[in-house]
Amino acid sequence: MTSDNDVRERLSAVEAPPTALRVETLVAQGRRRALRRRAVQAGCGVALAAGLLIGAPTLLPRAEGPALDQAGAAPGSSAEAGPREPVADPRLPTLRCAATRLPVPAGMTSVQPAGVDPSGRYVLGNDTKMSAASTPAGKVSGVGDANPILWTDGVPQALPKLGDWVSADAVNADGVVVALSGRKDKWSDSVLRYIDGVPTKLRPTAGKWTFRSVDINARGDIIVNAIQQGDTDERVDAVMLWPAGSATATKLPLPTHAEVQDITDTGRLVGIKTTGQGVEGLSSYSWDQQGKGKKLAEPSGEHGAVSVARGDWATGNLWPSGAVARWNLTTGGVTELPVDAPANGINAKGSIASSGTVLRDDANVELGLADGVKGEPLHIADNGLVVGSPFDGSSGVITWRCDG
Amino acid sequence: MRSDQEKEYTAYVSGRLHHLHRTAYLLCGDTHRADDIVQATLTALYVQWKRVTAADNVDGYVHKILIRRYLDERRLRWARVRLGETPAHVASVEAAERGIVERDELITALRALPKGQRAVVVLRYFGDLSVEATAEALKCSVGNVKSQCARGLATLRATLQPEGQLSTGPGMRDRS
Repeated sequence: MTSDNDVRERLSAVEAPPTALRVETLVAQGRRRALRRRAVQAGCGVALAAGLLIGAPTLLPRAEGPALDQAGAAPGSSAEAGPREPVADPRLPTLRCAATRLPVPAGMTSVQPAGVDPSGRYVLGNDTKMSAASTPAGKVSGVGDANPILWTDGVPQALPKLGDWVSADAVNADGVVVALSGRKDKWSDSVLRYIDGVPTKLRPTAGKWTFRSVDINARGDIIVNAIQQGDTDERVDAVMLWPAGSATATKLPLPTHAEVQDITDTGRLVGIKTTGQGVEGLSSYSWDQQGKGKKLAEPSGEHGAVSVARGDWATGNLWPSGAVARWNLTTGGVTELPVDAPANGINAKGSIASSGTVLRDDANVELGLADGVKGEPLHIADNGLVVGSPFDGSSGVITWRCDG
Repeated sequence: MRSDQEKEYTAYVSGRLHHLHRTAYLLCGDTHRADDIVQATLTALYVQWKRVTAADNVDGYVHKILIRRYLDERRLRWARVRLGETPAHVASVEAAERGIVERDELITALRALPKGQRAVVVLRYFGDLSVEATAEALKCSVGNVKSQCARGLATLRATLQPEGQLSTGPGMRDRS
């Protein structure tokens, strides 16, 4: 006789074949669904809604330009085929990059990468934990704990916290780290700068602010997006700049609700501006620090959402298709890549970390396994070092050495 | 979604993905179809994240969506072909393969259940949901859950021999 407990034990013992789903891809699809929903809610018409309801983009790849354009779709992509994945170009050599798992400080069990400096010497990560206020049933009611880690030439150092939690966002080639911090279970209310591993709290402009996504360039300029505390529309109210070496912030004269994603070594700001709720109100810009902006080009019918910049290049995604885009910040031109995945990182050569590989002009890239585990590339340095996390969402930081 | 909310979502998905995939796999018996169900579930969750996290039970909400996706055959019509191609396994196997065979026996036995009974058994005995939570996820009464569960367990007991041998009666066909 099979008892209730037998059934329970046998069900628990079933090892299902591994899932092919990736957390990054789920997030990207969620973003696309959210934008689609907003677009439909905005009443932008039956035709657009019908187009957006298709799981894969209907746009054909733009074939002009360098070999990077060929990175994409398998023939016959359709809604049933799902998002377009990178496809190797047989005309190009294949670069195989060996993977290494970075060591983590003792006791850190939920480590995720946060960045790499352009030289590839410094890698940044955080040990993040769900808030204790979250229940076992899954209710999320607080901000989780976080502690930054800086690897120098592969050697980890847990950085000291200034605040109940600290989440590092970026590091430059001098090893200067910028981070956000906050009180227990509250959103970020402080911006930190670490020099030689020692944190200093930076003074913002007057007011009570919640901060998100802080960045630093080569000379040490620091940029952050700020939202007035108590503001419920969640859009950025101010972009603050601390020029290199300065302890005092300046509010930049950018357009209303402009949100900066990155600052280049020349001090140019790259970011997005949204008007209204639908994708049609989304566009990307490059601004100087006086607020003079240049809109980044968009293919017909698409809207650009830039996410990261380096040197002359920036990358992000196009909506509603969800395709990876690469912008040349000097010419303002855009290249649409037939890959439907988050554009995670870009280096000074224009190589893009996305969709389990590196999209390059001159080679196909195969990222090796780390201890038998596949990884998702998230950041890329100018020397070709790629930094990512385990494919299955588990704890750890993986680096890949890709020459050039 | 704000970046901090997206971090919460990512943390939740990272922690639950494996369990949700196993739940979907037990329900449908096909790993690709399980991926489809979980993908649709978690994409829907992203859109509703802010609202869902304000509720008391994120897992309960997720189970509801997952069950609805599973029960919605129209979206996954192609999968019936795949299920029909699942090979039958014989009892005499190498010890190293026993785990796979037992898994397939259980999946085959689950497939013999009507979908409602299968969902109740998986949620109650794998998801560890209470009778009330199962009823909420399936949008049916507590009494209905109890009766479906009793019938499902009776069929499983008749199908699964104590030593894990699979019976081969006419009931072993896919009624999904």
